[in-house]
Order: sequence, then structure tokens, then C-alpha cells
Amino acid sequence: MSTPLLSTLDETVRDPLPILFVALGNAGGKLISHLPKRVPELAYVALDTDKASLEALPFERKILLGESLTGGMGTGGTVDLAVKCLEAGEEQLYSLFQDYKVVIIVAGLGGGTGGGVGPQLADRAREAGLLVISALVQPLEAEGATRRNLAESALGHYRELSDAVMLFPLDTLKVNEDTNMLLSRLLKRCGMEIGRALGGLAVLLRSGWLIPLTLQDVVQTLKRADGYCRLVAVSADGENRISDLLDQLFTHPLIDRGSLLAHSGGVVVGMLCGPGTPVADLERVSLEIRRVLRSDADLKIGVAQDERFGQHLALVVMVAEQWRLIPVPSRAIEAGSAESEEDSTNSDTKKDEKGKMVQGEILLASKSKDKGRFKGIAPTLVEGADMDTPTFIRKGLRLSFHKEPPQE
Amino acid sequence: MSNPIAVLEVGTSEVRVVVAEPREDGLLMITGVGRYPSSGVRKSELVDFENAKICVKNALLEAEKNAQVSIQEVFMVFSGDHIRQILNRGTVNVLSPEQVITLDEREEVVEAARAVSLPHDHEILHSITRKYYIGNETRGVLNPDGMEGSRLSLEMLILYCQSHRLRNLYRLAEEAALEVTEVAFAGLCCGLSVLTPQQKEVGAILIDLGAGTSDYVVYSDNEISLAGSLGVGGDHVTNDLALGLNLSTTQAERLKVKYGACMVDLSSRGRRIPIPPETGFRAQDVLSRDVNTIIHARVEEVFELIKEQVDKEVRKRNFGAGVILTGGGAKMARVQDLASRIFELPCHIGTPREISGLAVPSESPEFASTVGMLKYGVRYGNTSAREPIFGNFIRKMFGKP
Repeated sequence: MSTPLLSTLDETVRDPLPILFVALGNAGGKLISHLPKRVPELAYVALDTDKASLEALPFERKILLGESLTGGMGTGGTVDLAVKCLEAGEEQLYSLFQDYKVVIIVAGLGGGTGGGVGPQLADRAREAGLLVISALVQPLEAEGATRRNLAESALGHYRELSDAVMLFPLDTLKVNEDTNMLLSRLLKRCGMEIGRALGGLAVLLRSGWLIPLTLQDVVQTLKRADGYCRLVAVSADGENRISDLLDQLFTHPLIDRGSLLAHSGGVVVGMLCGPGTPVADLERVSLEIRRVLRSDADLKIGVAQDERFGQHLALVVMVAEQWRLIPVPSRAIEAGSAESEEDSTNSDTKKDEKGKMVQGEILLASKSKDKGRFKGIAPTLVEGADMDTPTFIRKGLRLSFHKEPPQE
Repeated sequence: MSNPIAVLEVGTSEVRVVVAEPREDGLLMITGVGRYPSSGVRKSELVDFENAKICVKNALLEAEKNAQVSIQEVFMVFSGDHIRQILNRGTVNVLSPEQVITLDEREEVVEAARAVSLPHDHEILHSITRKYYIGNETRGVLNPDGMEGSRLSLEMLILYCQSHRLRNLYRLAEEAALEVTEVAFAGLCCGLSVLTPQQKEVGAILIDLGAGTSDYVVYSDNEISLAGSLGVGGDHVTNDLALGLNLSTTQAERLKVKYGACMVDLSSRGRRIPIPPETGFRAQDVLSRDVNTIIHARVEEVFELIKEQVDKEVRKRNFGAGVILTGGGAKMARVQDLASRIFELPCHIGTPREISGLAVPSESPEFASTVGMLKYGVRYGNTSAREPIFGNFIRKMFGKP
């Protein structure tokens, strides 16, 4: 059973990091309106070049950019005009940034304001000393090539001028959906999912964790992912809350129904729970997540507790889509050399004692140098690597292999 | 209809003989197919000549029976990671007083461009004309005949291979009482079979995921920019599964075909797949996620290695047609998703075009290379001078859309 995630987080966060959410353009404004309203430390401001669109948003702080240039009619998707609008209102923006350490720019990529103003705004915020994260919504494939090309171009600028970019492709949210789904429902769902995820981002960025998750943890992951990150937030309660929670996470469309999580090089997990949550529950969630990750994945986990959560359990998970190369860990091969020197019948016990692998993993040691059907024929060598040796062994990937008792 | 033409492909998983007749409307009519599980071939190379010979004979018999013809001559498809490429440029002076380029200059420059120094025991398999350059022009032309210039240069993509491997293939055919009319690289054949002229024009990366090798051909800027073969294929996936999950090769192959996917889907993370017993291997069950993790790691690596080559070798990276996959590996579940993710391009499965007759080859991506060679055979068969004609053929058939 789901709960309105993050609606009670005001008590969870004890040492708030000043974060400013900037809702940019029409799409940004609509997405921010799905953020939890009861997080007092979060500040919001809406920026747009379209007066009518801006007035419709439920925010106290709104800035209309370039009214003298556009007459408040928007830029019509013209990036150059949008940039001029920003330049006209530049002074207002610098004063806006003064009290904050982090700015999260939320925008759609297919329009003039989101695509044109956004990167420049990110640049100005960085100049002002803020950490800039851009949360960007990629238009639907169905919106056509012009909009997609505009989005691609804008994305490139955002990547250049932000500290990190988080991408939300709208198309992923309609995967496996009913073909009769109405556009309005799809957009609403997109808004809700992305709003929840952005609320989660705010939580990840703030301190006060029982098991700490620092701003640096989040930022480092964002940086090593070169800004290619996805973010999801899920929650559950009841007797089967852990299974429900993990099912939601592992089938979430924003992370390609779990595929992205399974292949990601870097993952940040924030667990939010009530004080009555047994440690065993947290351990189980952690174990299940670790089980599905690559063995060399850089995983950071934090736990925050709040009595209002009661039996609810929530997860905010940031998943890197790309990962800068790091030295490949060779757990399996290390274990292999160890086993070759020792009695293989005791290998499971020794493995547990060393704590190198989680319970239930297959020990790949005895196979590490085995090439099976390619034994005895000329190896395929690529940059010194013997391609006939299984890739998962060379990469040190972990399998949760359940082995039947040996025959006889 | 014209005389039937036969193609022999000694693959790692299967030996195939396909017979076809050209129809009046230009399409190929497949009249016979012979298939026999391969033995004695690893990574597209012969490792047991006698066993391979038996397989060839059996496949041949089946094809002859199906097509009701007697096959004496075959075109052969060739692959292996010993196939390499060199980009070479030859230049000649235009000596005529008017400095008009004629067929003589063109032939001369082809020879000059083909004059490359190869390692010992290697020979040219294909020489593919890319562009001619006149004088100091940096923009190439497709046909310089009749144009004026003091010098003529030609950029040529040369594919070469180990001579003894090619000779062994010829010997294998001869042992089965077959005469080899022509041999062509499998990757190029696939391009001929599945790509449209429009796809070649806008650029495409074609990957033939075979059992023994993964062959690739890259079309960019209206020409072949890259061609090669990686000695890793579906057999490696099977081998990885067998080693990782303690299965026989047969069990692993069945598991791969029936349940395997190239992406890990966490929604089925707890699903167990029953593995029936086999001699020497007891029944067991394995986790779907483990199976897919192993497959994903291998196929991802193959794509990444090919992408590295593309990034390194291809100057103009316009691939409007995206990635096209052929070969038996193209039938693996979610392989398109993975390719699309690695290459950041749309990905499609390529099946042979413009053929009719027996259904199997027209519906199967693994027949792409065989059908490509058939197309070549139909249009350019009955020749005895291998190299020069082949060079011309390749230029016309593969090089230019």
C-alpha cells in the first residue's frame, strides 16, 4: 500500500540545507506544483516568459522574465529570445540566489524558456557559488523531431553549465501502460512521479540522517555519473511493506523496470522509516538492493527516522546511468586464488568469514581460469584480455546462484 | 528462370547450404535449404577438418534433395577475427596531354591503392573503392571518368585475411566435390542482404551476431567506413552460462534460447528456471536474474568493443538508420534495447529482403549473410577471375548504395 511519500518530512530533516527550487517555464511550473507542500525549508520560485502560464501557478514567488521583449506572451520556443529575456532580469536573479546553497532547476527541455533560459540560469547560479542541479524533462517522442532536436541541444547546454543533470524521459512513464490511457492522465502521472522524485532529491540533499548520507555523497555520485542520473521515490506500509516497496522499486518505469538499477555503476539509497522499524527490516531492504546491483557498483545508503512514519517505509533512490571508469574489482578472481591455495571444501565458510561476498553468492573461483569449450584453441585477445574467459568472471560480477546439493 | 545458384556457409553453430533461382522480377526464389549442426568449427574457424567435412556433405545432401538439383559450384561466406582492414590511398599522374581521366588511369590507380604490404601468410580478401580525388581536391568523387586533372588518387578500404584459413575453406569445399566460385566476408554479405540503399545513404551500423564471431560493417557518408570481425559470438554466451551455472553446453544453449535476455529485468528477479537433467548433469533450477546478468555482461562487452572501433575509425558519424542486427544473436530477447543503449541509436533487427520461396531464410536474421551471398551470386556469378572482378563487384554491390 502506498503512502503520500515525503508529505511528512518536515520533522525528518533536522539540519536543513537551504535549497531553492526554480520552476522554469510551463513544464517546470507544473512539475513543481506536485512537490510536497509541507517541507518548510524548501523554497520555490517560478520563472517564465509567459505571463498567463505563470499566473496560473500556485506559488508565492513568481518572476516574469522579459516582459518588455515578449509582452508576456512567451518566447514561442525561440531560444535566443529566451536568453535575452533572462539577461533583462539578471539583477533580480542574483538577489534570488543569496540565501541558498543549492538550486534545483526544474524545466522541460522542449520549450524556449526551459531550453533557452535554463542553461544560462544554471551558469549564473554557479557564478553565485551555488551547487546547481538541473532536473529536466525530456519531451515525448510523439512531440516530433523539432521539439526533440531542441531538447537535445538544450540538454547539451545544461550538461555543460550545471553541476549535475537529472533526466526524466516522459516516454519511460508510459511503458506498459494501457493503450487507451488519456494524455491528461499520462501527464498527471508524469507530474506525480517526477514530483515525488524531486521531493526525494531534496531529502537526499539534506542532512540529519541516522545513518548519514551527506551532500557530498550525492554530489559525488552525480558527478561520477556525469550528470546522467535517474531518480525514483517509492513507499509502502502494512505487513508486506518490504516486498511491496522492493516490487515498486524494481519495476519502476523511471529506471527502466529495474534494468538501470541492475546495471548501474553508482547508486544512492535513502531509507526513510518510523522509529519502530526493526533493524532487520532495514537490513533486508539493503540486502535485496545489494543483491540486484553489480558487484562493483558504488552504493551509498543512508537511513532517516521519524515517528510520523509509523509503519511506513520509503525509499529515495538515485541511479547513475553512466559511470566514469574505475579500477575493476576482482573479487571473484581474488577469491579464486585463495581457494586454489586452500581446501575447496571449506570455501563457503571461508568466504563468509572473510565477508567478501553476501550470503548465497556463487563462488566463481574454480571457474575463473576455465574457458570451457574454448579450452585448447587459440584465444581471442582484445587489449590483453582473453575474451574466451567469461565476461562476468573478468568483470567480477556477482551471481546469487542457488546451487542444488551435489549428485550422489 | 535462370540456373540455380548455391551458397555454402560453414558456420560455428550450423552448416548451411541455400539454393536459389533468380526470378524475372529481380527477386530471388529460394528453392532449397540444407542445414546441419556444425561440428569442428569454433569462432568461425575450422578446428576439426574431418568433422566439418561430414557436416558440409550432410547439409549439401539436404539442400540438393530440397531443391532437386545437383550442386557442383558454390559461393562461400567467410568470417573470422583474423579479417582486418587497411585504408590505403593510391595516386597516379594523368599523363595524357589533355589530362582527361580515362579507364586506363582508373585501373592504374586501383592497382596503386591495392599495393599494400601485408603480414606474412595474409592476402587481400576485398578491396573496396571509396572515393576518387582529383588533383589536390579534398572532396572526393564517385566516378572520375571524363574529368580533367593532373593527378588521380583513390581511397580504398582493403579487407585482408590469413591465407591458410581461406585455403582450408576452399579445401573443405573441394573435399565435398564442390568448386568454389567466390568467397565473401559475411558482414558485407549481410549488408547486401538486409540494408536498403536509403539506409546505406544515411548511415548505419550493421552487426551480424553469429555463433562464433560478431561481424560488423559501418556505412557512413555514403560509403563503407569500417568492416571487421570480433572473435566473440553467441557461443561465448552459451559457454559463459555453462561455466557460471554449472550446466552442460546443451543445457546452457537451451536456456539461452528459451529464457535468456540481454537485459536484467528486476520484476522477475526471483523467478527460477527449471533445467531438466542431462547425462552427467542433474536437474536443477537457476535464477532468471543470474542468467540475464551473464548474458548482459557478454553482449554488452561485444557492443562496447564494436562501438570503440566505430568511435576510433569512423570520421563522420551519421547513422540515420541506426543499428541493424542480424545473425542468430539478433533473436535474443531485448538485444535491441541493449544495442540502443550502448550505441545511443535506434536499433532494428534485419531480415533478408527481396526474396521469396521457402519461408525460413526470409524470416530469419541468421540467414542474412547467406542470402546476401546469393544476391551477389545471382548478379555477378559465373566468373573465374576472382580478384579484379571481385573488387569491382564489391565496389558496386557493397561500397555504393
